[in-house]
Amino acid sequence: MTANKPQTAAATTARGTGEVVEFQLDGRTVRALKGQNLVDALLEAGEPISAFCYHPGLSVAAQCRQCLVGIGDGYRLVPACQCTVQHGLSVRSQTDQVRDARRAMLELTLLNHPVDCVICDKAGECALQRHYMDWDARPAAINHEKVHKPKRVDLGPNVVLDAERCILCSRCVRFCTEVAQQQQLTMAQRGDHTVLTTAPGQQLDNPYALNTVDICPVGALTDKDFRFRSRVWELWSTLSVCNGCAAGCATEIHHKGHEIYRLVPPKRWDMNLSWMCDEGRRSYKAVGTERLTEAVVDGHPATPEQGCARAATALALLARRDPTSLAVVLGADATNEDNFMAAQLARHWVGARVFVADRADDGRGDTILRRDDPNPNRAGAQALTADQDATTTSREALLAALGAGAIKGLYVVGNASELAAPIAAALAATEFVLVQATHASALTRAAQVVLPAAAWPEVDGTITNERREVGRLRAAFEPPGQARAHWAWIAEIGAALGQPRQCASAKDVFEQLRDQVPLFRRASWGEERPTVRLRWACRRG
Amino acid sequence: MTRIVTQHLIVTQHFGNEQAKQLAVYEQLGGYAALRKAVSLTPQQIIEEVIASNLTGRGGAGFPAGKKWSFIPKDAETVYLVVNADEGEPGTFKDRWLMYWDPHRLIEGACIAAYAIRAHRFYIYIRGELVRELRVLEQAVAEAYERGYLGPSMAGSGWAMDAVVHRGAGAYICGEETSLLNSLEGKRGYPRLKPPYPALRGLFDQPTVVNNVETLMNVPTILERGGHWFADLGFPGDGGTRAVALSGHVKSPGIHEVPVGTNLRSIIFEQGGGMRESGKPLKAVIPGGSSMPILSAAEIDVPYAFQAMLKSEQIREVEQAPGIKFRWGAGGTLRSMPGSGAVTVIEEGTCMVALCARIMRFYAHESCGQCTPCREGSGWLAQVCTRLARGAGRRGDVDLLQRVAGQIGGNTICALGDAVTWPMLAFLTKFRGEFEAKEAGAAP
Ligand SMILES: Cc1cc2nc3c(=O)[nH]c(=O)nc-3n(C[C@H](O)[C@H](O)[C@H](O)COP(=O)(O)O)c2cc1C
Ligand code: SF4
Ligand code: SF4
Ligand code: SF4
Repeated sequence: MTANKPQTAAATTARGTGEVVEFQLDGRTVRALKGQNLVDALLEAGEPISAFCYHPGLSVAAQCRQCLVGIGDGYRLVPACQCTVQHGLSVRSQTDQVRDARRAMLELTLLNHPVDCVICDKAGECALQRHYMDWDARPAAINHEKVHKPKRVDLGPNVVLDAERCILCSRCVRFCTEVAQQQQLTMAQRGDHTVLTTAPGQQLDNPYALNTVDICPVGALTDKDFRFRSRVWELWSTLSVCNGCAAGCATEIHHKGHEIYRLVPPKRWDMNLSWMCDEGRRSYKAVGTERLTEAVVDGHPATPEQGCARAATALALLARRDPTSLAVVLGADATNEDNFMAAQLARHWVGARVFVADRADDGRGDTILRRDDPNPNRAGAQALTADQDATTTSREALLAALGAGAIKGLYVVGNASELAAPIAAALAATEFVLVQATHASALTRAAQVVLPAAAWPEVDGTITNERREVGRLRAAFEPPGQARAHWAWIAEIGAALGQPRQCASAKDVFEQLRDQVPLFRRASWGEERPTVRLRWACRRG
Repeated sequence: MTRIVTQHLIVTQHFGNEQAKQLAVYEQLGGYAALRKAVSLTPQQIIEEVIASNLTGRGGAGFPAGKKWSFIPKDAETVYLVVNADEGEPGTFKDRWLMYWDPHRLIEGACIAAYAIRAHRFYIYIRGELVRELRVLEQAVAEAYERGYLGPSMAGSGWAMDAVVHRGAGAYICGEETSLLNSLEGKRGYPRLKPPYPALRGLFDQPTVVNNVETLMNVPTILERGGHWFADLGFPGDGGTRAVALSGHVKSPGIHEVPVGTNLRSIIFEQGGGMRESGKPLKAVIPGGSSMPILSAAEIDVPYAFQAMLKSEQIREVEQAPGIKFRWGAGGTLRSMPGSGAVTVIEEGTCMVALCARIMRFYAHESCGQCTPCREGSGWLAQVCTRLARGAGRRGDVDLLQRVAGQIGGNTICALGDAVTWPMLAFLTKFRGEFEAKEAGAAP
């Protein structure tokens, strides 16, 4: 399956062919991939080259002329983005001629720019601001009135344009045409009166439109959801995986306090390139609203200990009576560690049957990133029940067993989302229901014990996407109130059941999982990437 | 219009003959014989003849036409010829008259060229404002179809040939060949990145040759009289004649066809009849459309030919700053060129700062806005030049002009960037005193 790896021709050239060759950079020998775009090769070689219009995921436009280099002994400079790495290529990047030309290009780019960094949302992650600091840092030579253009143009439902800040790099235009495959943006007018605008009869309105805000090198395009909410340098960044669908796009959670401000894609060649879908970006909103924060026992607020004790007692009682009347439901929205612990409890601690709660395909997948499967971790949950016939763990099997009155005790790990109501409606014969969820639902209202769960940005763990790649979630901050990770609740209940504690962290659980479940044998926990302050995030790509 | 009749009129030979634009009359005058001859030759033979003729492009850059045709891959399936009739360079007004008086010569030349590159279709991209010429051309194309010069079997050869006349929408930049191709494809008229050049990937991504109107109108004569005859008529490496569009403070403005290499002074003082009645002496000449470096009155004893003007010691090299030579292309110095064949004559008393400002405003207005140095730099130069000309300049403006101009040319996607840098630096090289005088009278 390669459909959700956006393989544009541009992306392929940017990465080259895989053959390593050597070229000369200001007299030193540099190794790079043959056919790789020279801008990327220079950046990888640590050369402080700058570019506004070049983006490795888009076609080459060579408009900003900021990446000029000398090739061979030629007098004329050429944009590095128009060159690809070849064996024996000789590149000049630090000669006076090249540096003067780049400084000149930067001055020209800044000429009609308002330089209103103090009130610009992009300040702190703006490529223009950064390059100015690196290259020029002189007062402006312009002493005439700048060209004026529209300041607050509503381009569509999510994006606002400040045309004066726009440096006309055309990244957003190319993104819409080449990646989102919608010709919604274009340039109008000529010369220094050129403006970015929507094409006649069009809005900037497509499922990927917000990527234009990320790739805009300046503060011309702003996200209506994020603009004016925070200075970017006050934010912290945690690398995680979007839980919006089975694509499992790598994402950076940008947060402050216990609040998420936005989700943005990092540059990941093997994954989602530098894109995310708009819906995935907005999925953070649910994390901060109407969360369950307290344990509930028989309709009353309780301490975590009371919740776990009540749960353990009920489960033990039912298990003694008839373990097959107990059901544990894994979540296609929970992590592998959560589901592993839940399966552990079911199989080894109480002997219960195992089901998987998932959401049905929504048919809203596309050939860009988004998958029909809205479950972030269906593949992982299925891997943990691979020893069983899938029809015995399915949602239908669960509802049938409930309907037949065969389930006396039910333990649901996760929100069960669209299944919550049908399950709640089928509990006539069920004596005890335990639910670990982030949000209230018909199911939590019907449960004897509700334990508040941590949401995905609050946990460490892994999920498995549709391509069976194991992605790593990292906790951006602590969960609210008493909420904690599913696996931690399960471990707690296990302790109350008299099981020895074996895992102190999600990583411990992962290691057990890796040792015990064949499909995870080669999976990796991934590197530790600490939460960091957003500093010059323009370097992100 | 008084014209000195020469033996070598080629592209203007039917000027003044209102009948010649009718196909029957054109045929009586020998028209379409060259096409009938061409289809009895192989494409390669035609290309060789044109290479031997030393025909260079008349659109501005002077690239050898035969050589350009030979770049088309021999195994290409679909090839196009595009006729550049967008004539927009200030001072240039030859193509419109050439098309008006002799539309069939253009069609015949284009048919031969298209056949030589194995194309079955050519497009004529005509400047939108040229409504009268458009009508003449459309009429001529219809006649050529009727008579079988165009259609399924060009001049009975069995080679299909179609012609499409397409009107531009009023942007100078669409005269730049790759911008023209985008415009023809229905896209915004942005010049393309090169490489790939049109000969490999042009119109609709197919191998394409773009030639100027006048370039193609020479082709029938080359086939009739032979490449060597044409080459001998001109200057070494630069064959034939040029339809010079003479304008400005001159007695007889208009189109004067002269052999390539004719002395520029004689073009002005013989063909053009010298300075106009005001009695003021010659001050300067813009020799090839407003983008070409201006010449002072002392620099015009030069052969009107590309290589000659590029190398002539008569012409001072353009400077990037006082005493520092400007370098372009492969690093050579720049003098001037005949460009699009437009000679603009300027008399003593003309304000060079105002003239330069006018040129800068034109390019600032016509920059397509795609690449930063041209988009921003042209506007900056226009602003500063204009305020200087109006007596509202500031201290340091002349140096500023010089510095900014030097940053544009050579660093842009298309040659419009050079068309900003070259004239600006040439004005400063040769008339810096006038700019400094304006600045001296300026506010601090
Ligand atoms: C900004 C710009 C404008 C141009 N305008 C014209 C034009 O109006 N007519 C033309 O024939 N060539 C024009 N040219 C030159 C063309 O790009 C191209 O070189 C020419 O059409 C090729 O034909 P030729 O080789 O027969 O001269 C222009 C070039 C530039 C850079
Ligand atoms: S809005 Fe941003 S991305 Fe789009 S052209 Fe302007 S600067 Fe570039
Ligand atoms: S495609 Fe799926 S995983 Fe990727 S950003 Fe969108 S919702 Fe998230
Ligand atoms: S040089 Fe000027 S006209 Fe040519 S592509 Fe760049 S901005 Fe457009």
